[in-house]
Amino acid sequence: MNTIEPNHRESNGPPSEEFIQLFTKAQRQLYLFILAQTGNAQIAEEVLQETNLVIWSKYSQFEPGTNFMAWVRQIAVYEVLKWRQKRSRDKLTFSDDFVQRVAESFTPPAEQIERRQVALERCLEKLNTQDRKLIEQRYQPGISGKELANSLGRPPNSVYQSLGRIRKTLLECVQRTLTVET
Amino acid sequence: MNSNTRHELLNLVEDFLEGNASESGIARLEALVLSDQECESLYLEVVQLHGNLYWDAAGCGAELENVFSLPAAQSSIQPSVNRVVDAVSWPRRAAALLSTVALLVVLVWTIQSSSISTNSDSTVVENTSTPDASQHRDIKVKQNEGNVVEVRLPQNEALAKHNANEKIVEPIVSDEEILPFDSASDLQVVAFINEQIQSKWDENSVAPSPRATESEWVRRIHLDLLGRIPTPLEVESFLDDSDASKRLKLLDSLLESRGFASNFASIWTNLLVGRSRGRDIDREALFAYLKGQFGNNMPWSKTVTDLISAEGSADQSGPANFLLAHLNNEAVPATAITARIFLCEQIQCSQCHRHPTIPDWGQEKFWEFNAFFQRTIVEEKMVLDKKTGQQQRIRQLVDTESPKAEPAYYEDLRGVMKVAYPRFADVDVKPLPESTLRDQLAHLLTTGSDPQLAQAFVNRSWKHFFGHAFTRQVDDMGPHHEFSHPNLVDGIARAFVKSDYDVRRLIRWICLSDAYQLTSKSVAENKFDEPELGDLPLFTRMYVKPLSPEQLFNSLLIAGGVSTEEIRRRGSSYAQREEWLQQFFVSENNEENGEVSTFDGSLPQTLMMMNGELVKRAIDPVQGQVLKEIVSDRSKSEAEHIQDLCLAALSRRPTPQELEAIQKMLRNQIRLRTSHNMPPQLAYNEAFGDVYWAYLNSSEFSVNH
Repeated sequence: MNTIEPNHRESNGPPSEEFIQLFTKAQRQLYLFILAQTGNAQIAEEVLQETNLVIWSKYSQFEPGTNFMAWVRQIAVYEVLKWRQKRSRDKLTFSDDFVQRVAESFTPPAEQIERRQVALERCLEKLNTQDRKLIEQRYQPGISGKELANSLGRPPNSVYQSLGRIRKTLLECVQRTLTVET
Repeated sequence: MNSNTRHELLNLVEDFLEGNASESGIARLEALVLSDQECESLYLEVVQLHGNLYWDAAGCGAELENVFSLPAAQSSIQPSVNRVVDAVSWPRRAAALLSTVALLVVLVWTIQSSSISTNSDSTVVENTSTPDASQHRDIKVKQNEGNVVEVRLPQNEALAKHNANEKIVEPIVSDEEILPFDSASDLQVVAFINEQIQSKWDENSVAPSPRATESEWVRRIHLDLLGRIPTPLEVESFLDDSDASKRLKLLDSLLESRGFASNFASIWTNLLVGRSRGRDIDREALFAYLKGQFGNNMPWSKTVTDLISAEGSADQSGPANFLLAHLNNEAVPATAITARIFLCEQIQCSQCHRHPTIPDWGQEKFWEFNAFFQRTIVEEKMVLDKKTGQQQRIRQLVDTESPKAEPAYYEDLRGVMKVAYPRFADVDVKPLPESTLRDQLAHLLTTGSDPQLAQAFVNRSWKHFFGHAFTRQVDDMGPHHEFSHPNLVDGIARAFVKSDYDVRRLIRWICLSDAYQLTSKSVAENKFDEPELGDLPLFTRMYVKPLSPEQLFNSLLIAGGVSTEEIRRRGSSYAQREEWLQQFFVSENNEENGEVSTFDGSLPQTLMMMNGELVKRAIDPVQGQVLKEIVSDRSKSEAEHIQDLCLAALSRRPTPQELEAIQKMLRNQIRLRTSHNMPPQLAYNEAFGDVYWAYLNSSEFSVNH
């Protein structure tokens, strides 16, 4: 929290309705943006929370009418870097080049994010019950693949194999759906 | 990005997202993504998929965003705070996350309102607190006049120099020529198979089931190789043999038998032209040709060459019937079926569509393959049959002699007419006087040290013996599919090529492998090895295979008591079977020349088993040879009669509980019949007919396990 630099220039009230709407809408995209750079769902969530704190502390600096997404993305980039510095000794993270490149490349328009998400929901419905159940179990809050394997009594590798297969199916289904739409 | 790269990348991302990545894995992932635009897009797509699933908790939380996109003044935030409590009992990520955010609105605003210090027309955050000097970064967050926080990333010179289009990753190439074993030695190939299967068991921490009992195995090998259950005599002589290598002995003698040749000929006839007799071809001629090929153990490559390049009339040239059946509709079925049967590739969709994920599987792939068949036509003429003195219509396969190459025409996705010239595996082919396009296609298919033809045959054979192939669909080995045991397929396929496509040796390797010796019963350590559910098989046990229509028919004949000689001779029983099969199959003349089957465990099949002629005859104490012989043997007891029946139907002896239950049922049936004034001997025989009916209608009978 020490990094918050509250803006005091014109702190004359809570954030505007518009700001809150933009903010809420941007959450998913921001999350995906951070995830692409960190690769870990939980960590991305932590970084997103830090990012949100900064966004809120600076809300009055945002000028309505300017590109909100661009603004919050920059804050997120900074937060990712901060997190990376904390983790700099951890060998199992991406290199600077990679993170920078991904951050630059990940610029899907909001409606594309939304189309992708809708496509995914449809594709989830198309899965057979068994597979859908496994995916739902895997993505229960706070569950990792390993924990899931333990609770199912299956060896982790076989669970990873199934998850990999289902995610690949979903990926291809989403790709197909989007190709058909365009 | 080729399909291997795609595959590799997907696996690397999977490992990474599940927290299983190694340092080298991450490095490779980075290298791939940085080297190629498509890899980068794929990476971002997978990440989005994963992120969306996580964010929505797999589709449960999507609706929550609407809840929170209410106009948010403080008043509307208040109820959200309570949701933090809800979120604990009802743990949905999106709810928890957004609730926290809502709380923050309150908190931050309070902090800001009570804050005093001011110094912020232009805030520069300079972060120099890097823990490691070598990792020093110069990050600047600068807030400029537009009130936008600007973050400047450190420039990396190496990256700036790097040209994004330049490939920095060399594809990993495996040594093509060296096999890790001597393929001349069957023992070494089998050892290689065992080792590969074992390593996947270890990798997935599963354990194999125990070895199958001798009676389970003897039934299995007969069904797999001869397409029928063993006779009681065959079972008993195998069980009584005390030779330690009796499995090997039996395997070799069955491979040499005529039953093997006709069983495999029948399987391949079905694959090549289907089961229904609706097509205008000489199915028997094809069958006879294939039986000769398998009987003489001709190299598979030779058989494929014959089938693809055959010329001549339906009755004179057996192999010509394959293409005679499929040259309709611009040879579209011939194209699709040749690729599917011999290469295990499903290219039929690319006739009209681009592959959704594999860029090099476009329409041209299909039509360039199709072009090989464009010079071949089916000619019909009337000839005088010398025996009957009547005019007879014959169909024959002829290659046109026109000197100019006739391309295939097709409409592309935008409706533009295009042409395709014969091309396969990056080789353009022109018709030559001494060899037709089809000759050259056959040559391209069957040469090289590692052709897909061999892999496809190995995959099919494996599926035949284990019930599951190395790919989820046996005939879909396209680039979008992964192998359960890539090294194993590769190794056996190359050994198969080195053996000059020796079909019997390939079967020998498979049937001598440890995995083939296992029982079909699962144990706790391999319960989840269930390829039926969609996962790749690990072969920790023998998977249960439903009997094919031919296997069922042949087995019912054996159970009813036809001498094996009669089945081996392609005599009356063959014709009878062909006719019997027609009730289950109808052929379609569409772009894939498919077939509709009702032999799928549904009503027609069940009715056939319950009331069909074959079963009726088998359980009739007068007509059913096997039943009659068993019950009329007065030297044996009732229990022994039951044992013999069980052996005849299921190739095993009954368990004590089974025996007890059957004896009880049997006595009731006899009592019932005698109380209706039936003579005791007849009542006894008929009651045994009921027992036999129950055995033949058990699910154990209708599967190979």
